[in-house]
Amino acid sequence: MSLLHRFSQVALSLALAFAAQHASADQSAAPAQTATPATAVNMEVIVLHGTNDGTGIDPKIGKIPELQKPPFSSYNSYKLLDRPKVAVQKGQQSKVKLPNGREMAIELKNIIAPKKKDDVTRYVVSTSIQKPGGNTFLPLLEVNAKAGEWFFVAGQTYKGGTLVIGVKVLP
Amino acid sequence: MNKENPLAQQPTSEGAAFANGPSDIELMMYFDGELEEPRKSVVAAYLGRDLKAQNKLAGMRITSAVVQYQANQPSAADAIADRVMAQIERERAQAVPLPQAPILFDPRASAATKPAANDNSRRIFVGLVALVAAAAAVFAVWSKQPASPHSTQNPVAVHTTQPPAPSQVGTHADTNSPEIDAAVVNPEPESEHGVEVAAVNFGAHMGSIFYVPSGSVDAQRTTTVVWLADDAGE
Repeated sequence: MSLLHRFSQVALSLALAFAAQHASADQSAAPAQTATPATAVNMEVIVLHGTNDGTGIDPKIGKIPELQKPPFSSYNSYKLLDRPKVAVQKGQQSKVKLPNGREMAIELKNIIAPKKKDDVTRYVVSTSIQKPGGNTFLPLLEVNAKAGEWFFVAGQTYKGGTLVIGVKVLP
Repeated sequence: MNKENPLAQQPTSEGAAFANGPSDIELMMYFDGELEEPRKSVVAAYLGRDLKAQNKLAGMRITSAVVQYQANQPSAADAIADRVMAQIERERAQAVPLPQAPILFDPRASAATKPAANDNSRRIFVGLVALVAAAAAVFAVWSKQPASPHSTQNPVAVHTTQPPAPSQVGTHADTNSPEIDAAVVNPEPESEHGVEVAAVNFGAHMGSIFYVPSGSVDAQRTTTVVWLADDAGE
């Protein structure tokens, strides 16, 4: 009986410890104060031309260390072709003309306010690339992005190399 | 790369050699620098005017770069034993109260009661307490893991000497296939993707999604890259 009693005590202690831990975890996950989200953001688009002409990475591109890693490193040189900034309204498309005559459409589909204390606002951005004749090269790429983080669309053949297009939401 | 004897596929006349373009094996040999003259020059000339062949060569170049990069990186599994032991040591140092549970039972005190020779209840009890304590310790370790890949509240220190290799996530070329769902696309929950692919439709093209390491090693941040093959070109 004594043995059972002690065992019950241990089990009860562990159960209480478990409950306390869970309660504290739930408290730490309490939702943060949410500000009213904006309905428009500014985005930066960077258009690069990747080749193997041995000229290296254009200093005008700035610090993008990923260009030296695969799959970008399959081209040893990157030149900055264009770097437009576009204001994108939620639910509306903004278009960027590409050097190969195609158009990249960018749309801000949603702004997700942070749900937890340490979360950041995320932006649901949809992109597509249209050919001049109306055909679609890339029908849809929808991403969920933090401000200041690049995402890239690459692979369009252009002047013996490839086009690399980076998009980021400006903070 | 698989290299069979390309001579078996070589026509005798150069004019007829590339009616349908050089074979993939010849392209591979050309890419690897193993194609000899005069075929090398002929393939080079063909590449200069055929976009599809150029794309194939670009694909080989990308694949080669990724494979070489990954081959030079230590696998995440290499140090898993050290990491598990380090985590256990950390938890042991932090979870002081848990090992104290057996103190509720003092074997020296109960020894005075002189139990029967066949009384093994003490062993059973000690075993049960140890089992419960072990289960609690395992739970404590488990519960301190991050709840989601983006949780920054309980960061797990992962020590690697090299950045993780870029991961190629998906290849897709089915024109009828709808968008790829994010749950399928995201293969590395331990890495923080600053940009998550929510949906993608490559249309009629071959496409791949790469998560390229960026920033510090410990942060395990990656940059999302969608790479498509462009047969149509400029």
